[in-house]
Amino acid sequence: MTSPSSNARRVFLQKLLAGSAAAGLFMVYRHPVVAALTGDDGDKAPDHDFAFVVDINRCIGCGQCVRACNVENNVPEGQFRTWIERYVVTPSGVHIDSPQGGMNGFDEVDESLAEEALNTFFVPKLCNHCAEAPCIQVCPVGATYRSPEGFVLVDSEHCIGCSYCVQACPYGVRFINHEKRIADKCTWCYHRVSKGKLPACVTVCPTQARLFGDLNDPNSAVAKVRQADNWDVLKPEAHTESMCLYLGLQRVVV
Amino acid sequence: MNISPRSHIYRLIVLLVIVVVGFVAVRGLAIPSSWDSENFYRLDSLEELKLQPMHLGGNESCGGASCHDQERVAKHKTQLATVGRGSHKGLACENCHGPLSAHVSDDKKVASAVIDRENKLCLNCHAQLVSRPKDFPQFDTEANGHWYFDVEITKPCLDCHSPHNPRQMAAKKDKSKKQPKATSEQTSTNGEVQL
Ligand code: HEC
Ligand code: HEC
Ligand code: HEC
Repeated sequence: MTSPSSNARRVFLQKLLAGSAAAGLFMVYRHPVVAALTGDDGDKAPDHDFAFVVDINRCIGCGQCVRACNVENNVPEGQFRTWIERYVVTPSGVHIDSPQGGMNGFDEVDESLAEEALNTFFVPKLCNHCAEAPCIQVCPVGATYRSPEGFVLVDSEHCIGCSYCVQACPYGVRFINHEKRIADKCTWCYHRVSKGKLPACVTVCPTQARLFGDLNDPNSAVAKVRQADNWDVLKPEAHTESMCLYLGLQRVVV
Repeated sequence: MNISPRSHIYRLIVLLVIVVVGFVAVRGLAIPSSWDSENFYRLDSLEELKLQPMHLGGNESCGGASCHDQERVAKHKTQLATVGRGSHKGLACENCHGPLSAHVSDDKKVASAVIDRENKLCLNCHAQLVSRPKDFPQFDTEANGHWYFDVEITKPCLDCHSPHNPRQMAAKKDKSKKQPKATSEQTSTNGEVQL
């Protein structure tokens, strides 16, 4: 039965198919895979790939880094972009403290605790600038991102302060700045590094427990640490591809 | 009444056009101009973040035109090189003298740098803590030098230690205080007593 109406329907379906195929082609046209196949890669690999090293064996817990960070970045009182934790491992459990983020250093632990201690050390913490950052994935407005050189940053103009990212970060490095009411975090002092300086905390560390540099430069201290391959990252099970390499990291550290 | 039989279609089309135009307009307003739709962020924010002013300068900013590396001021002011020779060579001047921005801004000295002569300054790094690395020098009343001179933790560290080169005796000598006597081999070439 070939009535004109059924012919029209066939023509319509054919056109629909052709149309969606064309639309589909148009959508993949700028896709990276297509770009790679056609040799049209718009952007080249970034010049820098920054990383941070924290050497727990060297940290003396003086708090210079925390003070420097708070001054450099006008971090509100009581909030911290970087801080120091003191671990005291005893047979009865692990005691962790961080009075005011360790910014004024530490007083000696209680004598009873000191006697019991099997092992004790300081652990500086800061944003890990993860290559697979959970905080970026959850941001509903695209206000946080990883720059091509590896800095995980917050766009303060765009952030709506919903604090999803604060909850998503496995390392607890993000907070809502209670003066600006937006998400805040360590930037690895992006403003300094972009002018050829080191991050503030690295500048003031008296024992070189903090190192910062470019992994693309084989002579940099961080590249050598990564090469030596005796580093660990915090929470490797979170698969965040953390870019803060810790030396002397013990398994009790969380 | 001659209403077109297709008027409902036209009305729908008009509605559709309004919706599409509205959507495009709202989207255009909502998306920032420098939006990178591939990586999902505002490219301008990188430039904005670079504008943040610096407060710390690092030791490289202590040198400069008429500052702590000039012969002219060498007699009066501690030089980068002085600190660079002693066991405090790894320290930043800003560790003890406060951030650069409080001392110099726009290449002009705005105020004297902080000078803190309290023991607290030294003890911030040198107080004895079990959690510190064992090989880090920590204040110890039993250490040879301290035991010999009955040093209490309240005794001014600067009486004996020069802050810029702590293994060297402090420059100002108070004869009434017991000081370790220099033997010939302990005296360095510049006549200062080495610990
Ligand atoms: C360990 C802490 C410490 C560090 C690090 C330090 N200073 Fe000092 N500085 C002091 C103290 C304490 C005094 C006061 C000494 C006194 O008057 O007895 C002082 C005094 C000074 C003075 C005034 C006295 C003078 O010599 O004219 C200058 C200038 C100075 N420091 C420059 C520097 C420079 C430059 C650096 C970095 C290369 C530096 N300091 C690093 C603690 C420090
Ligand atoms: C910011 C931290 C810091 C401050 C503040 C500081 N020091 Fe030091 N001090 C160090 C470091 C780091 C070393 C080098 C340790 C090493 O060589 O392992 C050191 C070394 C020393 C040494 C030499 C120890 C040795 O065996 O070589 C003495 C003595 C000393 N400091 C005394 C002082 C005195 C006195 C003050 C106060 C004016 C002071 N320090 C303030 C960090 C500090
Ligand atoms: C009466 C002088 C005197 C005073 C005051 C003094 N020291 Fe010392 N200190 C010495 C001498 C001398 C030595 C050298 C000891 C040695 O080489 O064995 C020394 C050594 C040190 C060392 C290195 C110890 C080591 O294990 O190598 C440190 C750290 C130190 N002093 C810190 C301090 C601090 C901090 C203060 C202030 C609370 C202070 N000193 C006050 C005379 C003094």
